[in-house]
Amino acid sequence: MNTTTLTRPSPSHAGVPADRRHAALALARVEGIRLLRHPLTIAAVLFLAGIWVSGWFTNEANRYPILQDVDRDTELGMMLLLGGAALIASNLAVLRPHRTGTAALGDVLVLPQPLRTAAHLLALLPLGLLAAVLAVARVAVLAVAPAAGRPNPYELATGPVTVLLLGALGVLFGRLSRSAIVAPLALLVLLATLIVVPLLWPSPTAPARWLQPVVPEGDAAFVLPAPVHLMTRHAGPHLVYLIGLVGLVAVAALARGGARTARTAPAAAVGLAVVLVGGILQAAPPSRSVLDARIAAEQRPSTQQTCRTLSQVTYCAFPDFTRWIPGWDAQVRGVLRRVPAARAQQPIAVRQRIVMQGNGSPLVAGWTADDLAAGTPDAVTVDTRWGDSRSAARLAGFVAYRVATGQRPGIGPLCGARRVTVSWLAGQASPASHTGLRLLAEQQDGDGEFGVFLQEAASGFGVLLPRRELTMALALLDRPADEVGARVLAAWDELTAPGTTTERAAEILGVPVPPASQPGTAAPPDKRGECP
Amino acid sequence: MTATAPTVRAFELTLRYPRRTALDGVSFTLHDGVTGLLGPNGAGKTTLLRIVATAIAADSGELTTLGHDPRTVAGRLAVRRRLGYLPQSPGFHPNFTAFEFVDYVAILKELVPARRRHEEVRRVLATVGLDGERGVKIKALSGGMRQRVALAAALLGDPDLVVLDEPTVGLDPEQRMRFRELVAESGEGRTVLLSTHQTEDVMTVCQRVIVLDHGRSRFQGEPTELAALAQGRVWTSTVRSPGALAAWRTGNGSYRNIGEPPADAALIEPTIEDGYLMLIDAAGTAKEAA
Repeated sequence: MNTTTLTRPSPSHAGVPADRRHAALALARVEGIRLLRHPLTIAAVLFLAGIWVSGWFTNEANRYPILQDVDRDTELGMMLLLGGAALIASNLAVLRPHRTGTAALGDVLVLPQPLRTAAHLLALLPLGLLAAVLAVARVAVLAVAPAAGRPNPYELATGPVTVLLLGALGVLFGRLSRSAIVAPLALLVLLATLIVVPLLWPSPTAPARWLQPVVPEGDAAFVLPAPVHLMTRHAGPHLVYLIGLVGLVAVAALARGGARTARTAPAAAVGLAVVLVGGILQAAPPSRSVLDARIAAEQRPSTQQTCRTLSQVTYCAFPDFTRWIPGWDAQVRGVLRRVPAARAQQPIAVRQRIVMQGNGSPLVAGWTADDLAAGTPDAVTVDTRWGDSRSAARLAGFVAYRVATGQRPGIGPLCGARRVTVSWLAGQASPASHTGLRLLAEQQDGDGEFGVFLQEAASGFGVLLPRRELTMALALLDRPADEVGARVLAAWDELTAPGTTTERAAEILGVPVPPASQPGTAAPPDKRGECP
Repeated sequence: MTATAPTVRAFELTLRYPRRTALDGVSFTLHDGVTGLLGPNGAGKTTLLRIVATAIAADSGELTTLGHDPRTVAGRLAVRRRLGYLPQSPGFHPNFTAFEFVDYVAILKELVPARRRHEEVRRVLATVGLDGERGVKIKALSGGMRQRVALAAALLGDPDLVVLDEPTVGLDPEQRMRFRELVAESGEGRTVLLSTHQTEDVMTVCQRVIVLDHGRSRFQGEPTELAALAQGRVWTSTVRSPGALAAWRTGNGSYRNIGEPPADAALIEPTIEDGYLMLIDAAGTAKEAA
C-alpha cells in the first residue's frame, strides 16, 4: 500500500487570494466549455450543419441563394436545435449539484449563489458565439456562390440571441424547479406555439406572430423573394425585443438565485422597457416610402433597376440580383444559338420583375409601357428565383417565345408550329432547362392533359405549351440537338409563322404528331385569346 | 488540552426539527488535532457537523468558529474561506475527471488565479495519493478513490478547520486504514472534526472524542478516558450475564459483558468501544427507568 505524507502547503498556497469576480468568471469559463462539449450541443451542431450541407446538394436554388432570405432561414433550425440544446444543457448544469448529490458540499462553498447563477448565464455566451459563427459561416459559404442580395445583420443575430434566450430559460428553470423534466417540456411547449400561433394568425405580419422568438416566413407582400429595399421585416426591433427578453429572463434567474432586489429590480425595469420598445416597434406597419417603392417596383421596375448589356442582350435587374446576370445569359445564349443569325442579332432585353400578392391583369400593360419608356421594348421576364432547373426552363421559354413571335409573352396566343418551336428551343437551351421542362411537365401535368404553363413572375400570365406540342418537343429533345437545330434553322420562317400548323411542324421536323386533345378538355386559362 | 484559542467554541447549541430535537444544549470546544464525534444513528452528529460547517444554523446557543460568528453573512463567509467539508455520502459529478471535480470545488472556494488554483488542485490530489488518477473520470474510480477525491476537495486551500462526516463508511478495511492515515496526517496543525460510527477510527486517529446521544453530549475527553469509563466493568463469562447493560458473544464462544460485574467476574481491560457502549446503554437504561 502506498503511503502518502500530507504536507502543509507552502505559504504561496496558503490562502490563495480570493477574488470573487474572477472566481465567477472562472466558473463561467468551466461551465461554458462544458456547455460546448455537451453531447446535446455537439449533436445539435452536427445536425444543423448536416441539414445545411445536404440542402446544398438537394436544393438547386442554393446554388443561387438570396442572402436576405438565407439569413432568416437559419433562425428556426438554430433556435430549435442549438437553442434546445442550450435550454436542456444549461438546465442540467444548474441542477448538477442536486442531480449528483453535491449540494451539501456546494452549500458551504464560498462563491455566493447569485454569482454562480451569473456564471451559468455568462457560460451561455460561448454557445451564442458559436451560433453566430455558424450563422455567419453559412451565409459566407453561400455568398461564395452567385448569391443575390445581402444578409441583414439583425436577422443573422436573431438565431444566436434565441440560443441565449433558451439557455437563459434553462438557467431560470433550474432555479425554479429541481426537476430536469421542466426544460424538455418547455421545449415542447415552444414547438407547440410555433405550430399553433401561425394557425391562429396566418399572416407573417400579424403583431402576435412577432411575439414568438422567430418568424421564419418571408415578406408576405410578395409571392416570390423580394429585393432588400422592399422588405419590411422588423428584424432590428425584433432583435431588441429578444435581447430584452434575454435580459428579463436572466434577471429572473438571478433573483431566484438569491440576488438582492435592490440590484435586480432596476435591471428588470430596463429589461422590461427594452422588451416593450422592441415589441411596439416590431408591430409598426411598413413606412409609406417602402409601400410606394413596392408599387413602383411592381409596376415600373425599370425605375429601380440596373441594366447591363452583354452583346445584343440587355439584362435589367434589381441591384441585389445583378450577380445572376451571367446565369441568365447562359440560358439566353442557349436559345439564340439555334435561331437565324439575323434574328439572334436583334436587340433583346431581359427584365427582372416581381409581383405583389393578389395583383393581376393591369400589370402586363404597365410592364409594356415601362419597357417602352426604358428603351427595352417587349423585355422578357425573369423573376427573383434562380438556380433551379425550372427557372432555367422558364427563362429559356420566354426568350424562345420572344424570338419566335417578336413579342413578349402575354401579348397574344401561341399557336401551331410556334408551340413546338418554342418548346424545343426552351428545352435545348441548356441541360438545366431540359431537366426543368421535363420536371414542369411531370409536376404541372400529372394526368397528361394540359402541358406546361410558364408563368411570368407568378403573375398568372405567361406561355402555355400544350401537351400535344410539348410531347413533340420532348421527342425532339431526345434527338441530337444539332440535327434538329439544322431543321429549325432551315425552316425558321415557316416554323415561326402564325399560321403554320402543328401537323406541318411535325412534317418539317420529322416527329410524330400526338392525337389532338378531346373536345371539352380543360386547360389553364391562357388569357391571350384562342388559336384559330 | 492546548493553551491556544479554540478553533470552535460552542455553547448550548440547540436545534429542533418539527418532530424531534436534533441537538439539545450541546457545548464543546475544538482545538488543533482530530476530534472524533461518536454516537448512534440519530444522535445528532450530522446536524452538529452541518452547524459547524455553516450549512445550517442552530435555533439557539452560541457558536464561534475560527473567531467568527457564522450567524452573520460576513462571519459565515469568513468561516467558509477557512473550512474544508466532506459531507456524509458526498456526491460527485460522474462525468468530471478527478482534477476537474476538485478544480470545480476550488473555483467555488474562490481560489484564483487559475494557474495557482491548478497548482493547488494538483497538490491536494497528490496529498491523497491520486496524482496518477487526475485525468480519470470519477465514475471510473473505486469507492475508496472517490472518498479520497472528496477529502482532496476538503483540503483545498489549506483550511484551518476540516469537518468530515463519516468518511470511512463503505470502505474496505485497507481503504479505511489508508483513509485513517490521511485523516491523521491532515490533523497536523489544523482542527479536524470527524464524525464516525467506528470506534476504531477514534482510537487510531483522534486526540479527543465527543459522544452524542439523543442530541445531548454524553462525553467529552480523550479516547483513553472514554475507555476508562468501563474500567472494572467489563468481564467475560460462559453465559450472558443477566445483569449486564450489554453483552455479546465473542469469536471464542465466551460472552463479553459490560455493566456491574458479579463478584466472581473475570474482569478484562476495557476498550473505547466498551466505554462507548457503557455510556450509551447506561443512558438508555436510565431513560427507560425514568
